[in-house]
Amino acid sequence: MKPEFQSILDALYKLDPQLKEKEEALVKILGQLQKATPDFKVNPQFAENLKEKLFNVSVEVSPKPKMEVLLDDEGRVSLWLRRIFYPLGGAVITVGLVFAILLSEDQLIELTPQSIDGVEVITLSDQAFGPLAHSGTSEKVEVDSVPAISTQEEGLIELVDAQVSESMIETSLPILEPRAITTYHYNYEGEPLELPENVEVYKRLSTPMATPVFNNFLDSLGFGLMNLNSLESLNIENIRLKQDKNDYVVELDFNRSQISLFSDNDEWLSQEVELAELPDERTVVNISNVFLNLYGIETKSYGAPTVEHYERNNPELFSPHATVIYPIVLDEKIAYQAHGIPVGLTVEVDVPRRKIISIQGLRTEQFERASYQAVSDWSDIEAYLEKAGNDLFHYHFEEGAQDQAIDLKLGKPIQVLMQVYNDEYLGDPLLTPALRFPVLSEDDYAPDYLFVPLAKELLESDMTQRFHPPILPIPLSEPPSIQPAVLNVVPRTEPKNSIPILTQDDENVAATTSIADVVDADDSDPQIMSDEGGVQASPPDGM
Amino acid sequence: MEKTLIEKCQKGELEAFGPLYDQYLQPIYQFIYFKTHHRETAEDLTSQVFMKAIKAVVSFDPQKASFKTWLYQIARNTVIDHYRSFKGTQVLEDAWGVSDKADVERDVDFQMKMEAVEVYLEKLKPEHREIILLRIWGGHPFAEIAEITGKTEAACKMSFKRVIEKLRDDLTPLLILLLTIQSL
Repeated sequence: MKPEFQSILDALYKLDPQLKEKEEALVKILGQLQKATPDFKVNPQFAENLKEKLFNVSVEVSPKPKMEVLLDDEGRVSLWLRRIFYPLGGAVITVGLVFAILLSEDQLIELTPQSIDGVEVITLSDQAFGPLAHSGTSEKVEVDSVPAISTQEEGLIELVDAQVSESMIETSLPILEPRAITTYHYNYEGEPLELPENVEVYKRLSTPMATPVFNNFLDSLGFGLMNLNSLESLNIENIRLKQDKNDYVVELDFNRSQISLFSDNDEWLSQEVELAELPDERTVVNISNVFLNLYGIETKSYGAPTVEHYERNNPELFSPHATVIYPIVLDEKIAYQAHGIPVGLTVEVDVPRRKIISIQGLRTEQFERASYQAVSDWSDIEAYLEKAGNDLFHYHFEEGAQDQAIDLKLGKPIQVLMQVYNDEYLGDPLLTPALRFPVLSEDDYAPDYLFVPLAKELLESDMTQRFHPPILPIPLSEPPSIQPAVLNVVPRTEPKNSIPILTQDDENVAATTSIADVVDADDSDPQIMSDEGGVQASPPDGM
Repeated sequence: MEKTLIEKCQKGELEAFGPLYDQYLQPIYQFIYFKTHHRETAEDLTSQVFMKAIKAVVSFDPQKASFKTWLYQIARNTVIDHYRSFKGTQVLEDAWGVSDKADVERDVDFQMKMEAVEVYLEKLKPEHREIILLRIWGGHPFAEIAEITGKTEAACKMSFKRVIEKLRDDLTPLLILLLTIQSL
């Protein structure tokens, strides 16, 4: 008999001495059971990996905090936060916060976020979001009616897929500096992809957090200085909470059902960093993962996280903080911004200190879905690729160089979702299906990926409104090197009749403004960008 | 020692979780493997257990239960959550309770070893099965099983006795058959 059985039998006999008579059978049973013992040794590699996952980062943890709103004995006035609201505790906030009011000597209102797993998508009728392309008049502006302009700081050139309305013509229009232009020619030599007849377009369903209990609670508050009851229909739109430890600030946006967290100190700005000691991207993701796990932020509904803006191999571009993005995934398609950065839960990591600087984009993952006609003919995709090199997003200018068009080879595309703003940039953007072609050729200025919309309406809109050769200033003594075409730029907030001009030095200011005078002889009131980057009002006569 | 480590964790010194992880990884993995019969599933769930534990250690209350009890309870709940996805109205606590084994991924060597006893272990209540497996497969003393399961030691022993008696009744015919075959 195996020695380990004896202690088992002893225990059994103490409970029932008569069992001793059946010892032979019991030993056989025990033997049979033990014979079936499975091999359950932990795989050392698994153990090591899990340990690394858990512990290769050291994230500061605050003790279990929660938010409490306390009233004094009279149920008024003293509203204070005993501790920071359990930052993002619970998980992704659900449609509403549950406010449990516990009436006792001290009245306590506790915020208890509920969690939801996964993404909820509600299907609407076809084309329920209306036109996909940015709305505007169909009037196009010929270059000879456009005043001379230049780029301006703060991205006032808005390179969008939109047409220029009459009102836009009346405002200032930027024009590009006289430099050689590099455009691209995209080549895809792979097999055509099978295209669907329809595509699903998504829009985030932004349901305000339920706040009636909190709003009712407002009625019971008084601040001495003012009687809040005197204001009707007072609603809470947001709350800002600050932690007395770790310096984290949490902002609750009740209207957008969104929570943001960020560090309120800027120590990371001044730290000295040895690039060689910085961890790899995997570790950066681990730092983020551990933090999110610590605070109960569920990431199951997102795609695999990616690290952006982490140039640890490039001292010139390096910033001590990296961005980890957990992309939104809908119907197995990852969502991207138009420039190729994923859309989703965004975590900024202070890499040297291994701390979290901010969390943004933490929202209820609820979407609406509507079907739209798709691009069904591959030749339309090819035509798009043919013209896409003229996209203002993608070409660049170089002083003293010759105009050139560079061939870029494209790899096999995958289907993704692309963020598109319609309806004059109001509300959340649409997520529309697109093909994402990797750019295989190396070029310092070329994009890493080219996105081709699969919604027919968007593709056609780009083709007719977005891809045109750039507008060039017309030198006084030479003909333009490229024929100007339809202008396709939208100024954002320029005052009427002002002409923004960006130059790098006074000589350029003079030159550009001279061109402006030639091209546009109206009574515009140009502004000049100073060397320091400030915008100066130009003299009334333009110079 | 364990108490000190937990206190450090609760103050935010997560490095102190390292020795706790080293101490409990193998038994927790084993506990889960007994219930899942599949290495990859056991590894996945074990990962979840320790991620949950490190996240929640700040809220662990030693007044309510020992750290071991708490950790095993997380493991038990994680396994139950895992089997919630299986069809049927019955609450499943482990792979033993899944009626259609085709629905469960199982290691081949596990299946082979189980041939003789599986049908009997399946009949047991999950909590009884857990005690048997912890005692015979895991080699845990009853005092420790009591801590893991959150029951008293006496209750664990009594459950064990009843199960053994039941197995004796169920298994004896099989054993006789096996002995007969061997003697032929």
